[in-house]
Amino acid sequence: MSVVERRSLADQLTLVDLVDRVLNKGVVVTGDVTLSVADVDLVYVGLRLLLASAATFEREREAA
Amino acid sequence: VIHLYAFVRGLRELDAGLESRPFGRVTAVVGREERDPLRHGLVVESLLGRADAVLPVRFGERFASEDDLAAAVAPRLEALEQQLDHVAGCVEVGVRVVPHHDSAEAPDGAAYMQARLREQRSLEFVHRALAAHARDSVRTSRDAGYLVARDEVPGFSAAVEQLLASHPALDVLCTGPWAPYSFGAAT
Repeated sequence: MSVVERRSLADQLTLVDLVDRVLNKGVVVTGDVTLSVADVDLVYVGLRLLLASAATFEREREAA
Repeated sequence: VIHLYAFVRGLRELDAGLESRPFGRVTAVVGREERDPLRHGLVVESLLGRADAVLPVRFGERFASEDDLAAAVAPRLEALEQQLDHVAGCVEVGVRVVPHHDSAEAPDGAAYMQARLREQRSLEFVHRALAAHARDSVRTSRDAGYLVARDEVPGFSAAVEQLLASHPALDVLCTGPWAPYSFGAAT
């Protein structure tokens, strides 16, 4: 693997990390995403489905 | 709509478009509707250098009114204060297993399980070695987060490098420093 490829792999993993943090970690004060305005929330639901990480999936399976 | 980015203490400055809402010793950083999770993350990271303590909020916490925000925060003030104390002056360093010989590329089930087991063992080993260098740590099945004082980050990095140098077979990636996302458990 070339240095450039390594570099781009590291960048991708870091981006995945940021998205993973933003969507799966951090303080929650409302309990869950507010699902009150239908047209907007479809966007949120879609994003969460697309980006929900393998880690969360595993955690939820373990908890179930 | 009010979008909640983070809780902070000792806030020095804010970018245009962001506002602070004080609740006792806790300050909420809010903005208008935010639909981009990446931008949410970048705003939270930008707060790291501008406040003494930053407690990131998960993307998607939005409130219809100031009253709704206050009602959601009020019962959690004490917990939020404690969490801010805990993360004050600290950043989070993330460590994850890089699937070099990817478990997803395994030819069959047994090879997949063996690859996953190797990843788990790598992470367990690394975690035991690094937890001693952090104020606090959190581990999931695939990654780990370490709470490290800002001025102790070089020392932590050195510990990681030393670990990797003495164990060339380890496939792990160190990321950060991040805002301490993993140290604000749901309250």
